[in-house]
Amino acid sequence: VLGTRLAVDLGHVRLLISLFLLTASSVATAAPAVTVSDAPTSRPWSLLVEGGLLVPVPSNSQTLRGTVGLAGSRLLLGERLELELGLRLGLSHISTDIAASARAGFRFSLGPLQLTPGARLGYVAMHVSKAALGTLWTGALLINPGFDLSLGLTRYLELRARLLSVSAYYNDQWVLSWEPSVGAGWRF
Amino acid sequence: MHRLSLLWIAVAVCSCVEPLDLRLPIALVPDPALSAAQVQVVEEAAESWNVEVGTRLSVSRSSTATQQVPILLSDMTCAFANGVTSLVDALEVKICSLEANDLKRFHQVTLHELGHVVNIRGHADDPLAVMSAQSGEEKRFVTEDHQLFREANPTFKEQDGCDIARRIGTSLSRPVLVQAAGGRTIAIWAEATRLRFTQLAFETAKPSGAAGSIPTPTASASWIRPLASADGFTVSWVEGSRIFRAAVTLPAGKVVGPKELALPQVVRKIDFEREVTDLSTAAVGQDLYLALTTKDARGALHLLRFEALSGTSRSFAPPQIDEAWGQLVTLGGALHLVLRQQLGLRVDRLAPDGVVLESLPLSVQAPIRDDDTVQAQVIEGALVVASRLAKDPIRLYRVVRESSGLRLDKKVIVQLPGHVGHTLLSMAGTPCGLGLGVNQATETQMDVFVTVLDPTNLKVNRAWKRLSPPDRTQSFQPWLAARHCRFLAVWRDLHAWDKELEVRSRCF
Repeated sequence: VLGTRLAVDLGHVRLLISLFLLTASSVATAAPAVTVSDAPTSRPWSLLVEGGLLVPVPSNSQTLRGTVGLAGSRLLLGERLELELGLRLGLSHISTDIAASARAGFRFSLGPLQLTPGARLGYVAMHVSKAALGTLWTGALLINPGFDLSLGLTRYLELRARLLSVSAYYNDQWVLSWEPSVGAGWRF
Repeated sequence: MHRLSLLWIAVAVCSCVEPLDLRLPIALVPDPALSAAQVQVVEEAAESWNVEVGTRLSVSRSSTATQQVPILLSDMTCAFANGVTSLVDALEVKICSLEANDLKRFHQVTLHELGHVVNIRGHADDPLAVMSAQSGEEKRFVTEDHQLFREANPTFKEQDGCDIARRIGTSLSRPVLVQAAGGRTIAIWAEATRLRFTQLAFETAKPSGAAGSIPTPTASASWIRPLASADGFTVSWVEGSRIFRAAVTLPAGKVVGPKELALPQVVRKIDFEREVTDLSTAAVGQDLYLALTTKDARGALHLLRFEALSGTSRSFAPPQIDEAWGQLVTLGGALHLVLRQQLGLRVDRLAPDGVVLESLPLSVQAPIRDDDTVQAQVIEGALVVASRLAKDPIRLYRVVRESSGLRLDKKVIVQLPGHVGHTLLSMAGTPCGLGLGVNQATETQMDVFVTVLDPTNLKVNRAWKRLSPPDRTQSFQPWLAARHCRFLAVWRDLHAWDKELEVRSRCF
């Protein structure tokens, strides 16, 4: 990939933000039944396993990544706050990365779906290897606003998806990437 | 709902820099960590854009320009892309520091990112384009790059119209220019079943005015050779082992012909594609003359004469000179032959039937070698002959015709800088100066350099200047034309599958 340009990236982010706000607004208008999640408080913890892509915007490169995380939730000011600690491993043809992050969000019910808008903060260490050019280690702060969708399959198992998820990486410069993922959570 | 909005609006706030004003200079400030060679790569990429679209990019570590763009190396960029042009808060280019380890790749990445610096926001679909986001291919400027630039900068006009490049078509053989009647400059090139021609505006290199096509009856044309005529131009060309001629009147663009020239049997046996090294034409009266140099076992110069309108062959002696090559020119209405033989270089004034009326030796030179080159042009009433043997300097001879006969007026040696190659490709002259096009051949590319000489004393009065963009892996066979202090060149990309035809207008 020869290059990315952040103005374009930010344009995409703004579009995504607009879509999200529109979605949230539509939900508020058309589905007044949005309530604080009624997920069983008897199982406040979740063990998460996710897989997905990291696609710098605009770019053709892709990084496969897998995440394991531990999430806990509790009621806060009448709404369900979910906190998550995650460890992510990414792999592409030129780089491997490992990221540690923490995420906070409020979980809402939307019919059978659970919607958890929030933000993730973390640090990612990246190892890049380019044939005939060399290798290097680098790192960046990770900021990932977005919302998770989850669908309970059983009392213990839920499907999770993060589609409109854009991460911002910062290390003296910003790089944005689209990071869709799907996974599963085991509640206990 | 209100809470959600607050959460996201905080993320949405961002300031992005305004597009740069391309009418003003833009200083590229290289990372202090860049080596001299890497800075030179940035300079070449900047010059490529300048030549290509007329921008004013320059590289400076201490510029006072109001528009400055840092060109920085970045480790983090490597994890996401080869290069990033950031428009957040301040415009800056960050290139993966690993890419700088390979100058060729560094050039490609820098060239692409500079496209974003000159306000191109998106990417090209053509994977070969400079502005393609895909990696792994040799990038070069293609039409889509120019379209993206124009869309990004709709009101931008090239800097003084001084460095302009346009692609006006594709050519299956070397395109040519002719300065035809009425001061019109015409580009001629070959498509599959026809020759196409168009008038070019010298200042803008834009096709404008007369245009048309000439059918090529049997195959695509090669060895296109134009001549100015009283009411337009004539053009001769090769199809297989046959030669045709047509005349075009201007400005109507009316075509008369094509007419096949009746070649003698010995010439019809020549494999033009493999054996011919030079073909020149001259017109005197109603006759058309051809000088055909071949590189068969010993090399030979074939001299041919035809009745121009009918194409019938006429007597001319000698029809063949062995171990020689040369070019025909018309000086003062008379036919002249610049002849290179084992014994040296000379100019012969010929009668219509080929009899040598007088001969002027120019030099006694070493035996002919394959890489010798010679160009002859009539410029400002004098015949200028440029000759180069192997990697020697270029020797220039200015020959004038006086009542007493031919006289060698000037003889100079033009030293070439080390980076300039040894093949003399084309020559054009104006009252401003004489332009010489030579190439620089490397393993991967041939560049074209031009200098400007005083037409009377033949002294170099302009530094050698690169005419071709420095970033392309391709070969050029330029055909130059000149007016005032501006040179117009056409060439095709020999490596591109579509043989893209480019016209470049550059002033000196």
